[in-house]
Formats: sequence, structure tokens, C-alpha cells
Amino acid sequence: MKELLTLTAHELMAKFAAGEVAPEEFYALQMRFARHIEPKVRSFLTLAEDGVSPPDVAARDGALWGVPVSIKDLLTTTDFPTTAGSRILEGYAPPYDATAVKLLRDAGNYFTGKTNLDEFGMGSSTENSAYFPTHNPWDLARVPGGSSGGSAASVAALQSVVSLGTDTGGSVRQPAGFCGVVGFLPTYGYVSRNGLIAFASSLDHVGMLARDVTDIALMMNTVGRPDKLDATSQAPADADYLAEMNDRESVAGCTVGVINQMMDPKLVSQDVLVACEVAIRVLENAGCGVKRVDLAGVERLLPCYYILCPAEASSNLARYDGIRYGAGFPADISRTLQQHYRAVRSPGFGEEVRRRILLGTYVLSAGYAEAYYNQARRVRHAITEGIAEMFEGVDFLLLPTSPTTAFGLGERIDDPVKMYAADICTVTANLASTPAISLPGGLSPDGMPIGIQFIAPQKHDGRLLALARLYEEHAGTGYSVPPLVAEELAGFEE
Amino acid sequence: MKELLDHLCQLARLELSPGEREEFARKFSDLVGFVDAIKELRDESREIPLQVPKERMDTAPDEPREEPCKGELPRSYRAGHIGDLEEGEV
Repeated sequence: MKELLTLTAHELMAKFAAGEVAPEEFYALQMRFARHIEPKVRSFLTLAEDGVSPPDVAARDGALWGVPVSIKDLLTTTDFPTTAGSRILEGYAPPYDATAVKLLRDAGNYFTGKTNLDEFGMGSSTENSAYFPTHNPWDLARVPGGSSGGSAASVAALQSVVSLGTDTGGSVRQPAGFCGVVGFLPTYGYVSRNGLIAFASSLDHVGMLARDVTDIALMMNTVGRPDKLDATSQAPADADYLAEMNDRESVAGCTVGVINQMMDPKLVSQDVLVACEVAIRVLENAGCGVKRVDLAGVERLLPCYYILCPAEASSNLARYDGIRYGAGFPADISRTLQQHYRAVRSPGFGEEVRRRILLGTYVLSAGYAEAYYNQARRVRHAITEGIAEMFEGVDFLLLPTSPTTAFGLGERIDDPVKMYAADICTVTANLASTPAISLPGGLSPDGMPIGIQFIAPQKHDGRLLALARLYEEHAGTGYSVPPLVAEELAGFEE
Repeated sequence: MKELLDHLCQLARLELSPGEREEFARKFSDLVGFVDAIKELRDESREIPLQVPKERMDTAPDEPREEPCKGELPRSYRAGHIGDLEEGEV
């Protein structure tokens, strides 16, 4: 029965429907294997306990009924603590579920636990977790990417079938690329941010990770719904992403633009370039047109992102004052209020979070806001317009998910600028609020996964999934079980 | 840079320990250099866009949650503090 662990959600649901296995039986198996491999991969901050109630039979028609899902620990849950990977929220028990979590719960999903992440989503390697780093299931000496590294590793290492993540500058797509799974960033506002612990609100998205595109469509059918608790929600009420994914007419003869600047050998490694060129040939063989296009101002992307993002973070994280949230009780009443704030916040936040709060404070401070923050907002507007203009000539954009394959644990942690450079291929979609997807694009010669990314115009999420499915069918480079995980599975006693 | 960091720490209600100040200042200086590239691309011809598009400026009326919040923090979490206050130690 343990071979069932390698199935996708839709394959698993077919087994449920045929009565070959019961959801509660599979969930028990899932949790046993998750615990078995966890000491090696360390995907979870909190793993679910035994004795979880089976899903509501009344919800049986739900898109992913009975399927085990892992949740990034940046989304609030009533049955697990929510830490955001930070000491300042250690043991925090939220009083409500995030809307996306509630929709999954109502649809009859099991939760396997809360996955590890870079503190508050700030990082590209999951090494900035205040608790421990997660390891890449393809090579335990390498990072799984970040900040949703725990989510990506949990799906790749067969610890959950699908996962809910968040993406502010590539935090779903980059770890998906590093771990060889599919990562989807919906259009801004298509999945509610209610219950997502805010990092940079204008860039934050809830996204998802799975082993194939069909599972992403099923996830979107569950969580991609309008929500009055999110003022920026703009999801269509009656969208059927599975039907849109299967609508091949919508992508017949489409044109895919390849961004020249993102294929620069000075920026992107040779292995990744080769994988992109192969992806281009796959698309041509599938009947798509391919056109080389230029994206003006690529050099502005990262400075723009790393001004707006810390600026919003410094404001959002001001709420952690040790009074309303997190550590700080019982208060030492011999201190003044200001001393109390500093005494709670300074050890409560890790180095990277403090660095971004201070950078955000700097770019927003009197005398600097015009030169940095307002200028970055103008640049963002120009990037959004530039992307919209590109979509007048092409239907989709193709670029690598990351300039390199997964790097080694500890390799970049002491050099923030080098770490930030890993985001060059992913921040564009967040700045322009467009949907994007990372798909497995084969392995490098040293056996590490490479991610291929597609971007679509805003609100073309269903059509993007159709292109992704087309690519997936023709490429033959979909998810495969990492060798280390296969070895663990072979030795796993049910 | 160290004076600037002290000022920013005060604004952001943070402290740096003496042991980490030097390393933190070096990395922070690198970051400021990194984002400085934006200043070279000064473009004041564009208006600063609204964060929220005009058509979305009208907010929906407040509505109560359908389900009440649950999971209040355990009383023991704050009892000591409340007791201190009641004893008039502040």
C-alpha cells in the first residue's frame, strides 16, 4: 500500500472513489511515513497528532476531499500553533483559521501539519527559520529554497500530497523549482489573504505546491474563491480551473515570449539555460509560437523589490510589541513601555527580520522616502506597464524559476546581497501582480531539479494552467520521487 | 553607519547587542549600497500610483463574522501580570 504515497491528489481520489483505500487509512499511512522521514528532511514545525477525525462525508464532492495537505506556518490555524517561523510568535494559538485553510477544512481535507519557513517569509533558503533549517530531499546538504521550503520539501518527500504556501517574491515558485514539484502563484487577490500573517501586503499571495498541474487546478477550485474578509479579494465566484486547464483551445497556437535578459549567461547558470532551451523546443513541438522579447529595466527589479518589501514589512511587523502578540507576558513592570518593546522585539526577531525592518525604516524615514520608497513605487508602476505591453505581443512569458539549482546549506547565509540575487527571476510576477507557475524542467547533470517558469497576464490563471498542462504532457519531466526518498520508502515498514 | 543604525533602531524599537553591531553594520551597509541603484534611475516624470485603484476605493460595509472567534489565550498566560497591576505596583 505504501506505493500510494507517490500518487498525485487526483490519482488518489480515484482510488478513494473506487473504494481501493479509505481516506482515513491513507492519512494514517501518510502520517507514519511523514514521521519516518522527518528527522532527515525537517519539513515541519508542527506535525499533526494521531487521532484526527475523518473528513466530513457531507463534503465528499469537494475538489480534494480526504487528501492530506500541509500548511505553511505563515497561515493561521486553530488546531495547530502558528509561529511564522519566529520566536516572537512561539506557541501562538490563533483564534481563527485563514480563509484558505477554512476552505480546505470545509472541503474535507486532512492537515498533516505546519511547515517550516524563513521567519515571516523573509528568505530564499528556509535557513532563516528561528527553529531549524529544512533540507532538500534531493540532496540533504542543500537548501530546499524558500521561504516555503518546508512546504516544497513536504510534497517532494511524500510527507503530504499537496501544500498551501505563500509567495511574496518567489517563495512558492523558487522552492518548487529547487525540490522538483509544481508551484503556483495566482493573480493577486485570487486567493484570500485573510489569515495570512502579513509581510509585504501589496506583494503577498497565498500559493500552492503539488506534484502536477491538475492538482494545482483542484487546489484553486477549493481555495480560489472571493472573500469579504479580504478587501483586495477579486477572485471570480464561479471559476472552474480544472475545466479551464483542460480547455486546449484557449492555448492552441499561442505565442510564448522568452525574456532575453533572463537568459543571460552572466545571470543564469549553464545547466539552467540548457533546460530553458529544451523547454522552448518542447513548446514548439506542442504547437506554440516562441518569440524572443526584451524586458526593460531588469537591473531595477531587485532594488525596487528590496525597497518596497522591507518598507511594508517594517510597518506590518510593528504590531509585534509584546503586548498584543507573542512573547512579552508576564511583563517586567520595572521597565518603561519603550524598554519593554525593545526587550521583546530584539531577541524575538532573527537577524534577517531585524535587517529588513531597519532597511524599511531607513527607506521610509524623513529625507529618504522620496529617493527610495516613492521612486521604487514609480519603478514598480513602470514594470507593471512594461509587462502589460509585452502581453500585447505574446500570450505568456517563459523564464527560469531561479538562476541556479539549489545551493548548499550555509553557502549564502552570511551574504544577504548574494541571497537576494536568487530572487531575480521571480520578483517580476509579484511586482506586476500577475499569475506565474514553476514546473519541473528536468535534472541538472549533478541530479538536482531545475524549474521552468511561465507568467500570464493578470486574471488569466486558468489559461496559464492550460499552458502548464500542455507543457507537462509534452515535456515528460514531471515530478519524480527523489532517490533518497525512494530509498527511505523502500525501507519503510507499514 | 553605526550612528545611522542607532537612530534606525530607536525608530524601529530594536536593539543590537554589542557583539553583533559591527557585523550587522557591515551587512547593512552592503544592503544600502544594493538598493541605492534605484536612486540612479530617478524618474520624476511619472506620478506615484495609488496603492489601491480608484475603482476599489469604496470599502464594503463592516459585517460581523459569521462564526465567533475561538481559542482565547489561556488565563494563566496573563494572570500574573494582571495581578501585579491590581496590586498597584505600577
